[in-house]
Amino acid sequence: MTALGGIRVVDFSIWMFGPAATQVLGDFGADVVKVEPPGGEPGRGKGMGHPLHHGMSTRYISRNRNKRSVCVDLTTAEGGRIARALMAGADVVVQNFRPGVAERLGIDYRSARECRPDVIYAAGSGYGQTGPYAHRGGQDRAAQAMSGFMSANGDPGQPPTGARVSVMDYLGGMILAQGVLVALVARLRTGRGQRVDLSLLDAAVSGNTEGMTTYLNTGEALVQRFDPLMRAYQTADGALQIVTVFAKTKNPMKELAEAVGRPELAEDPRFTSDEARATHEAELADLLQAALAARSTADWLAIFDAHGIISAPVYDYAQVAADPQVRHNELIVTGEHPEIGEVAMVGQPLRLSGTPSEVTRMPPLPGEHTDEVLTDLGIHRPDLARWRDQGVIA
Amino acid sequence: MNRPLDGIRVLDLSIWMFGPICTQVLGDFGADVIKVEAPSGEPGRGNETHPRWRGFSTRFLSRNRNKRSIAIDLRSEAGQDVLLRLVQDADVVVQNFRPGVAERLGLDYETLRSRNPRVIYVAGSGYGRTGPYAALGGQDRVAQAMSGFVFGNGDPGTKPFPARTSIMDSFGGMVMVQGILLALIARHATGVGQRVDLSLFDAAIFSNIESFTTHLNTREPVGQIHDPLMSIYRTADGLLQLVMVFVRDDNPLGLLCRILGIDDLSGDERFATKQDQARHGRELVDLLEEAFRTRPTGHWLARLREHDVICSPVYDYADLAADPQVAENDMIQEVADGAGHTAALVGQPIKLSATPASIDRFPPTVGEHTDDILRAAGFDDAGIRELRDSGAVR
Repeated sequence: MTALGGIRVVDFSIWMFGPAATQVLGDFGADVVKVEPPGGEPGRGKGMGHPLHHGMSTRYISRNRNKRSVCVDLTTAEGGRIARALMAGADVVVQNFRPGVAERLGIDYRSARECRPDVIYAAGSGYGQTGPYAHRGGQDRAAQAMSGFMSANGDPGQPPTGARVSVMDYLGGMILAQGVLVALVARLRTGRGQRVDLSLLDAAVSGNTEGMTTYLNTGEALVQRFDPLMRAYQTADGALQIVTVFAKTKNPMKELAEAVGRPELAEDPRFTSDEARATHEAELADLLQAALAARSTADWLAIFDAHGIISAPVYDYAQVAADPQVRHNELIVTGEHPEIGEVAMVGQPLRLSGTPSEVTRMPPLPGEHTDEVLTDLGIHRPDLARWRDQGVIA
Repeated sequence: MNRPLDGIRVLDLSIWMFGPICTQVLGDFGADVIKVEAPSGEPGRGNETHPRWRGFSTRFLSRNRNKRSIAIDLRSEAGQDVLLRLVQDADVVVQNFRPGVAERLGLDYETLRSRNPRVIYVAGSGYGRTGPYAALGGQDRVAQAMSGFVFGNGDPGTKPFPARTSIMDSFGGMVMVQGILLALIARHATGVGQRVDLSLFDAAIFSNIESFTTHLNTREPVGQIHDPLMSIYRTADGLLQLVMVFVRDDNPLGLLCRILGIDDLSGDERFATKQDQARHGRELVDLLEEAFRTRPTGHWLARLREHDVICSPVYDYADLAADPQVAENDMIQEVADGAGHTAALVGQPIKLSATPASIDRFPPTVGEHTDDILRAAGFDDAGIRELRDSGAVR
């Protein structure tokens, strides 16, 4: 039994924001039909220099398991009819085109509702459906830059820097999935569908809610800081993140100074109070860096643990993959795709005891399930063959 | 029904950010969230080091609206009895204590399920319920460091840095919301609740899904790189984030040089391919920045957008608060406390057309609703007084 068994999602979404959301729905049992133009959606990364695994973009792989693929040219009359037939059977329709595109393709909310009156229609956008930036394309880095997320990253004096990971696209995808689930709960109770809107900008702003709420109510901005007590340091063989915020001591500075073998630092008037430390944080960061460089990450983890200070290794992905807790949590799952072979994927972090997630389908090739899905819609083989010749489907 | 989760009762034992940011979303969509706190208040209310608004930590304000507070001493027998009474009417119980704490307090899933088989029991942890790190405390920066999120941040040769925003706490909270909604949907079919588990570590790894999947399938190094076409540039008056990833031009660098009005650098053999551009990234960034520095950000944004190149300013929170699209999207909402003082809170990013979110309750003071909640649970005035006098509630 799955949580979303029997729920049919017609997924027009592209790149990452939408596909990351629909993958969650698929993980929990929804039948996700990925509708792509012949040749595949742009997020397959054709010609873009994506890293490839047996010809398939690993970025695409990361967000398209548990989906079936149908390739349809929505700009043709027959393609439009197929889209309407698909939407007639859809509980959920998802798209993340720029505002206006869905209308042009005949897959906007009004059209979807004509096909299926209780449909849940989720629209992801860059900035919103209306407003000054509505027409602009959104993107992860732009959302990082405009949400305030970037501005405080990096050391003072350095240009602010974005995260390399597309964290806002992914956060946005998780919130879009929430929106669909909230609307499904509402439909169970009212019998009615509705429209779900989420912009990447708004998702990114809500990801900054703590710093933003502080700014709005105190005027205190999050700024670049050396933040010596919450900093990542180089060790003799790697890097280590220190977290003193939960230290169970009244004086974390004293504990930290003792842990690194420099107890006199806690008596140094430059570092005794929060205010003094804020003024001299670069010097303190340098002194701590010099101390931490002397031993290995593993040594420091044990030392800080003994002093009740949380610390963590800064992992690269090889280290994440090798970590015993990651293994224990079975967060790396592998599957076999008939054409591309063994594929490794990042598993679902959510564990549901009664209706767990499952990876039942490998990321599909473009149009891998076109015949299967269209035949289920009652379309006959001669039509399929003719449309294939005409380029309507692939 | 106005909101999708009207009538859903959430007993929220969670602390700090990971849990509270999750239950706040449920409250935004209408759930009756009862925040169960220690008589001294939950630790996430912060201390004097948190920025404050009228005695409230602004961090606490950012994640505790739409909740009622009851203060119970769960170490007392009477307090535990009160809680078990509340569990009888609860749909969802959320906690993010370290594994073992809930058991010690008699609030483990088995105990609660025996009282109420429909209850959905949600446990957030640092690393998982079992496994080598289960007993360790989790935290945002640790999750950033150990998920691979940190090590790729920053230019090659510089020290990787964590994000200043608690992005993994936010991300984990949003994934946890999904888990609860999935379990609510499943309960509609099964009639029984289940256990939902999520660790911050797993959630953080999930947010790295794209790069980590690449690592797992190709072993290609994913780390700090120069990507001049995705970099931040200093302009005459500020900063600009360039995102030349969706460009429909075979030669994005050539296009950029035309826009900047400089010689075509794509003819230079150092920058001929994407790999060359990465290898000589520092030089290329410097050459491009020389051009960007001649004019203000606004000029370049307009010129780049004429060519449909995605780009954005790099905002701090003051810029963000002043942005017209943020206003259009209702992402900043003024909400009044009981005395009529208004604080600004970050709005809900999910816009539902039929059952929208709303902010109906200001973040509560400790035990603000203790009496109301106890009375509704069947305690009479004398009983409440007795609980108060014994210190079991506040």
